Amino acid sequence: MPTVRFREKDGTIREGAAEDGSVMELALRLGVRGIEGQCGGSISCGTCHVHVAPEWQERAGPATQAEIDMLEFEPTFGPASRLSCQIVLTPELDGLTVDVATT
Amino acid sequence: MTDLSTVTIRRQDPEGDEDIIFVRGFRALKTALNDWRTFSSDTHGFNVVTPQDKTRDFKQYPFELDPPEHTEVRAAIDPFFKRPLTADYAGVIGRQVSQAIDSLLAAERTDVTPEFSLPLQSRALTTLLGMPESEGDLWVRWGTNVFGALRAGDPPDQGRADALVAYVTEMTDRAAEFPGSLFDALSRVMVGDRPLSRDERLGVAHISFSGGRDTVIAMLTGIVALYAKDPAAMAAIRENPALAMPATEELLRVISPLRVLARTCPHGGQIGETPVAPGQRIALCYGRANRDPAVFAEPDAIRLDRKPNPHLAFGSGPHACLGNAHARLLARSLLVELARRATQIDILDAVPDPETGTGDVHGLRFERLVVAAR
Repeated sequence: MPTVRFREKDGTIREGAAEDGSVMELALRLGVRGIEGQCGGSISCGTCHVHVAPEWQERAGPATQAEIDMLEFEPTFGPASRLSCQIVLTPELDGLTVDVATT
Repeated sequence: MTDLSTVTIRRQDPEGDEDIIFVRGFRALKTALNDWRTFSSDTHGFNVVTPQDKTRDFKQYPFELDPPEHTEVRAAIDPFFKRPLTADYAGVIGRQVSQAIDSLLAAERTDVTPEFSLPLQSRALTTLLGMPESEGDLWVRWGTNVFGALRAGDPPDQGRADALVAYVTEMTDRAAEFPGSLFDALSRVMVGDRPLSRDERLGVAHISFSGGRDTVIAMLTGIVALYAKDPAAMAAIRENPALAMPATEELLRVISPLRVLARTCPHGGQIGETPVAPGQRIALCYGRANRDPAVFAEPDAIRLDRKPNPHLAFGSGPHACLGNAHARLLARSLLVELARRATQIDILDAVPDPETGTGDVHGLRFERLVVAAR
């Protein structure tokens, strides 16, 4: 079962694992501060924005055009940006580390 | 090629007509919403198409500010508006929705906006603002379209505007009597090392009422209309309540509860290919942008599971709707609970909303909608 490490804005680390689903759904279960996931994954709200740690970016994959369109005006948008609702948990992502990037 | 993303419309005004650029394309609108340096919100009453500068002598905070002042005030009040994300809060909204449905199912006929959506919006707003539920009875008596100018061309109603100013003034003075309420919270929050000024407290309270009223009412009526017109949609959510989440976003896109707001361009600029003169205003046509075929395939079709769905119903950028978590929760709750309890909703009488220049007329906005639900 893949484990994900979330770093909140103040540096607090929250860690948890899930069999499947998205990184956003896991964040909500863990109560990660700053991740709201309000639209449930429809790419409507941008409230699950994370920065993927450099060593995980290749495995997590790049942001899709729809994610870029949603996030491009965010002050914290950058090359590491993803919507965590669009990162699907797989065994290859065991150990994934992301920083909360919502503003 | 002609730029279809904007159209200039003359607003007639006894004090001098005004040419306003209506921004209708998705891309142009999203850019304008985020480019606050060019398209400023720092006005007193001019962020709506029909000016409200004479309806109150304080600004709406933080709505009528630009960053960085805006950012500080918004950050100070933001936690209060995040309370809808808690389970306790969702439970209260669920009960209020359920009680509204009790009345809907018990009545032989319901004039949806005044008899269902308005009371439910007001009860739910007591939850958002942390006020006694009985206070909602007073707000119901204010009626619909109270604060005007949500639709281009609507004149503000001074008598009703005065009533709102009088109410938020009284409650700001009596804040200590309502512990846990917005009024109480505003008396305590700090912006850096200073408390909010009296005008700031009045201004936040004022927009909390005016911004979340006719918008939420339109959304609630639109949900009842959807189920009346499309029983298959009601059945689909009954069978799969998880569908209510993307369906909420799709209904927000299609209904676009907020029709139009405005920005002022103090130094001039450009929107799409259209030049904007110094001092000229632009109007933000959310409903039209949310049906831009360049972004939304088959934009007039309602697809409950549409994805991606980057609608602008709550705006975008620094001024994105502060009440969005509450509005989303209320919509989801109504979608699920009404589908669970109603088997059929018949339309007895319907008068669609008229076109108002923003180009957002479609099948889920009504001036009058009477139904029988069972």
